Amino acid sequence: MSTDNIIGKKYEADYEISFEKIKEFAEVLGDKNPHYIDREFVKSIDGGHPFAPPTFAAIYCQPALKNLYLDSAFSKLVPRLVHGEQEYNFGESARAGDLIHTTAEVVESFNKTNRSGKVNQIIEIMTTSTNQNDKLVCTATYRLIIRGR
Amino acid sequence: MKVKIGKYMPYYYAGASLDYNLIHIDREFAQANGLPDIILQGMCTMGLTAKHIIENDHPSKIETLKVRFLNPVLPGDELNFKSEKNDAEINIEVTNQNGNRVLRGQAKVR
Repeated sequence: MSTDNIIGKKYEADYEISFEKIKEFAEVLGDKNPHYIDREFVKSIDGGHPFAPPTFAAIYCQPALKNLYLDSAFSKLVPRLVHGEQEYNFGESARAGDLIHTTAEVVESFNKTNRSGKVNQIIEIMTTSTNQNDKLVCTATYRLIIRGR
Repeated sequence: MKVKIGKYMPYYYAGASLDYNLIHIDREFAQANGLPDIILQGMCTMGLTAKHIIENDHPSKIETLKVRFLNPVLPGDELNFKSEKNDAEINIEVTNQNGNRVLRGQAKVR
């Protein structure tokens, strides 16, 4: 199925970061870094709220990506989708209490033959996330592989 | 850093991360789509990679993080995280208990 009609289309959504979600995320990863889980420790550094781990970006980008995944031009591909590559560039740290606005855009789609001769479709998605002060928090590139049949 | 991926890890990570793609939580679905079993979210392996780099430092330590997922990670796998630092750049490699590489990546640190 062609995905040409979603190239360049933008999907947007907001996500508000909570301390509880940060703690839950850190716990699953077995991460005891006090910057994430110790409110008093972080307050003693700069008086602010706890920080989100860098790959918490997967969560605040999720609502925008979900809007893409629900697009009928894309949703049929999801069962055959695996994650190929992921790149993050971080700006301002994301913290509990931040309201993150993310825009996701499908930038590229092409076919690639793998080592065993199977033709997979590669889809590249870029996201840009800013906080409530319009500061850039993160840009990301997702390279997804739609496995050939 | 060594991490044993528990049987329920894809479920726990799904709950924490909102990634409920069925290949991570439904074995029948995963196998019907050509996978050996449910597979761990690549983002979970990447999250563990970031943890390995940052340890207890400030999270702003990582300026960029780029990874390539090379092989699926299955529940029960034991992952070995290794990194090599050259100035502000860190090269990372994650292998499983069979010595197969599951992730390769680079980080730029501040």
